[in-house]
Amino acid sequence: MLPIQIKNLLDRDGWTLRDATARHRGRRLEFFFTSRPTRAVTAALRRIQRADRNRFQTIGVVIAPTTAAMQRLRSCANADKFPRALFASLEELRAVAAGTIPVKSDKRGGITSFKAEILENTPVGGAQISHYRLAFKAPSLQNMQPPQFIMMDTKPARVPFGVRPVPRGQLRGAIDLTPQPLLKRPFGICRDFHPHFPIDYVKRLRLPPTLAVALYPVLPDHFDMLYKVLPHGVGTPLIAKLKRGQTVNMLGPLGRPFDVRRLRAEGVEEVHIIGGGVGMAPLILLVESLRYYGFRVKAFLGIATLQSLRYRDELAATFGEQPRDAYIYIDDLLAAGVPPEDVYVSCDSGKPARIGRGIPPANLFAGFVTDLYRRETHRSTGKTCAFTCGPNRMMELVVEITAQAGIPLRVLLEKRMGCGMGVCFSCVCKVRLADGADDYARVCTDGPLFDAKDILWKNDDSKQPSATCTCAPRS
Amino acid sequence: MEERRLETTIGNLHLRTPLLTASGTSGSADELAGLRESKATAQALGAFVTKGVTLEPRRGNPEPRVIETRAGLLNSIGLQNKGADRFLREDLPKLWQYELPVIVNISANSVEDYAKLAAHLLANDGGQITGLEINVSCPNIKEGGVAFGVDPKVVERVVRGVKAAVPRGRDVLIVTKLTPNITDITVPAKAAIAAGTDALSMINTVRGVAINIHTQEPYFANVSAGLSGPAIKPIGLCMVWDCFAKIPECRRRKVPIIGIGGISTWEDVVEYLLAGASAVQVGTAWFVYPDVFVEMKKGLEKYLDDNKTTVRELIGKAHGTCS
Repeated sequence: MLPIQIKNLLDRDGWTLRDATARHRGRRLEFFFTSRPTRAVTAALRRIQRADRNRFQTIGVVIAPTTAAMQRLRSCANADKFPRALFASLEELRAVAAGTIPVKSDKRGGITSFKAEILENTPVGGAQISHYRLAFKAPSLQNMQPPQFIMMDTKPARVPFGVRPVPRGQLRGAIDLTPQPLLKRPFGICRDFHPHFPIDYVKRLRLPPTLAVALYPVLPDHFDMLYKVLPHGVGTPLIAKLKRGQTVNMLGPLGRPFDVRRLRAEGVEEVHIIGGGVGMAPLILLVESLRYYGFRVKAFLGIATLQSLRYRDELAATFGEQPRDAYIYIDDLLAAGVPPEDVYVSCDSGKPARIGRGIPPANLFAGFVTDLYRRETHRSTGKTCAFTCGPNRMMELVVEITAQAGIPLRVLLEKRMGCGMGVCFSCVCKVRLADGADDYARVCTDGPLFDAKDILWKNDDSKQPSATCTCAPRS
Repeated sequence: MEERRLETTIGNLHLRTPLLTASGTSGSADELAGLRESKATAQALGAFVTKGVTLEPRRGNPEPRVIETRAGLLNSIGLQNKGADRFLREDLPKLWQYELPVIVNISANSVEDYAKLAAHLLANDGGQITGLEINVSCPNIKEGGVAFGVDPKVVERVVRGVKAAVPRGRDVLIVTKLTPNITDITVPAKAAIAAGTDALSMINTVRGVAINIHTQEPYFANVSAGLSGPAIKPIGLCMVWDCFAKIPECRRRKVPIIGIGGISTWEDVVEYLLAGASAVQVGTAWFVYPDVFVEMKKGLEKYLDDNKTTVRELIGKAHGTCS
């Protein structure tokens, strides 16, 4: 029998529980209690998958007695033993029912270099590809906290700079004059499938929200990022050539983590996220974290055309589902737990056509995202703060708007980087110190999140603006 | 015996391994501590050479500060650092935890300031500084740097000044870091030796320019910047070779050479040793591959095993067959 705590959780969300099955409007959750993989559970899960196919109406949930036992199950979990299952532990379910959100810390801290396997590198945008969605698997990368980032090589991993003898008769073409980037490139993680953030699944599966925080997906080492290939770039076009199955050297987690629970202490209830184009990518992980801790999030997305965001979502294949059409950013925001009525989209090229997904037509806007945001600032419901990332000019305008509205703003900067770990001092931006003097701060170790009022946007002695958001590095 | 084959000597300083961090790319203790493999990295190192320290804090150059080139990296950081006082207070005690000899890279705008900085550091370090590396070769600052490094008379005055600033009775290794932006590197090398330097380190970055073809202007505010990375390895190797071949003090290892420039793999380390370097510094490769010191140590150990030799025996061995 299911403990009373789970029943309470389900009751809160309007689900009814009978035996080991919870029901709500045609959707069903089937619970299995086990501490080790058994044939009976596997067979039952397989039956569910076959009967449900791609509708996501019935989901199997494997519940282990302790969190440790659950993590053991997940680590041996693969599609064979636990087809399309979610995991939970009684320990944590009890904690959630008692009103405490489980927080786990990972002991293996610190920056490390590791190899990541490319799972997919999908072009986005149909005819005019500019964005790519890159999914990778990296068991060594754990405990990524927003807005931390990684740095990745632009080529598959080999012996670094090793001298390779050229076979006789193959000298032609042995000297490669195409640019061979030396440095890694920094990228924000847009989704991680970390135990803390199963919200992507929550959205897809439409799980009962109070229960969802204690449910774990099967992909603990799976990360997603979105990047843009720049026309004059050197590194990003090479990254776009990476293929599924290749391994790439990476470095991470980099940057100072931001604990969103700090906002709670500041009394914040509502958070505005203003993302310009690919600037939205690193903010999505932050959105997941904000939603996890129950903040209301309003997301304002500025894009060139809606068409440029369209792609085939391969994640679905994880569930044995057919790939489907999706929009990057928009679907990611929804997956991160932002309600459709709080997603605002502005298109520079004209009002976007109907997106569906429950996003009200009134939330679609023709023009710049800053104009859209200016229109919406006064409609906040409680104490508000804002986060932004995007082109420099856009961020400057957001600074103006939030200053007028009295909303504290934090900006996520992304810059050309050398090392990513604070050694080289190349990714600097000018900041104002407490004593009024100004100084160069490192985006990699002092950031990437800065208080907007600390940043000096106009940088007179530089040839470029101080805080240029590159989102993907410019070269 | 197992451990001793990697040992090498610079002046009076015995190093566990010939691998050193290169100034400017090594940061301070905080950056090393941030690595998950910090302990293994510290164990692979012979000594820690710090990022350049100046008497007063320096803000560094405006952006952009780095541009990648084919197989290299142009930088124009401009010696951003928090100044000698904060270095002594904040960084030095942390560096000391790694139980490595600490060599502080020093930079200044005038001959007098080099001596002043050296005296200030050595008076307030609590005996924790093992050596000083005199930077008379930074290409990215207006005074000092390369402007000093190309003039043998100035090099001699700077080294003499720093040497005189060492308190009586203290054994501090004085290393002079030379610039490759000169016709004959043996000229400033001899000047530094005449002034009493204990060791030479070469090379600093090579001057280079990058131009943005879209805006049609130079990338860097200072126009020229310093080139590092695999691209400059043959240049550094050549300068080490020249000094070892042409300067008797170097050849007899009375004034040993620390090789720097584009070292990215253990093979590069062996090349530098064979050319006459007693130790090497690794910089840019560390950015790209933070495990580089651990991997280099492994590779070097295997090479020494396979060839039944030691680091000391390799130094300058390639000169044996040339006159």
